Amino acid sequence: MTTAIPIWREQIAALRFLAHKVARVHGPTHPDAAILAEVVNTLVDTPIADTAAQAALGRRLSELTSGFKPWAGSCASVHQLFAGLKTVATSLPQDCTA
Amino acid sequence: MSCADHIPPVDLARVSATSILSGEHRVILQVLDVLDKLAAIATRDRRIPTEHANQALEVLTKFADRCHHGKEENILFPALEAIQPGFGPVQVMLAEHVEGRAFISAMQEAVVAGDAARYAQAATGYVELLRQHIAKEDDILFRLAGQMLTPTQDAEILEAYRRIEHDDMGDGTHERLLGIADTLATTYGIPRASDNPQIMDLLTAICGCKKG
Repeated sequence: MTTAIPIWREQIAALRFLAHKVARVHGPTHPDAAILAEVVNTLVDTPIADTAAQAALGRRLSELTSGFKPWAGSCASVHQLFAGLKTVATSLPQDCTA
Repeated sequence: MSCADHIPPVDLARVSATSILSGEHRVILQVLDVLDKLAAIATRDRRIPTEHANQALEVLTKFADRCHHGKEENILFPALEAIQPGFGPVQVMLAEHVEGRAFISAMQEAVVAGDAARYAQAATGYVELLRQHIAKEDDILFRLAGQMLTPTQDAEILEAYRRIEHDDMGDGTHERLLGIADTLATTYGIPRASDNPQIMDLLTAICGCKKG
């Protein structure tokens, strides 16, 4: 039988869809949106035990979002995505968010 | 051979009133595969994997029934009936939606009661019903719909879908439910529909996001 899934796994899976949606709509004006979607995609499939990879992806998320600050004048979906990514990043193991 | 065999299948590469629903079908089929596994566990171990059973039920009640069947019953089907009053295939689909809700209620009651045998029976019944239901919609009804709808009607239906997701379901609900579906699939080793870029595009196409 499977073990319980950490809550952030479920959150990041949901954010994968949101990140893809944001990339589709905002990619032309914010090229980083497509890269952000790829990073989220990778994080979904990163094993829980691979804390080093999680650390690198968490740092990349922070870089791409300038510390999870939504772009000026961005829509509700972007705000929702960045807020969700910030929550997930803080839910990662401590050494992964340093 | 069905009467729709001479009509091309739904084009999943193009966002349309029917491709959106066909894309959602892939996620529902993914959850049905999970349900198969849960039913097998319930039968083998005589216990229900409650957490995962409840997660699957949430996806089925909110995503499959309220969101997906809501789009069909409130938007697409009435549009088809307006074009062709008494359109037969729609009546069959509506009856199967009702039958599906009975199986969902039975699963919910079985989970609350901890009745593994009843859960497995209801889950298996639901899986069988929905798989053939989806095949009928994809292979017959949606092909016919693609021939019936004008581009203007198609665009109006897509806009109405958008309203369901934002006004009825609420922003973020769709993504949350898809996330649960994917997490369950990953847990039980079932392929995720969203790993197909074409399906992912369809699942995220209905977006109220304004370009800025």
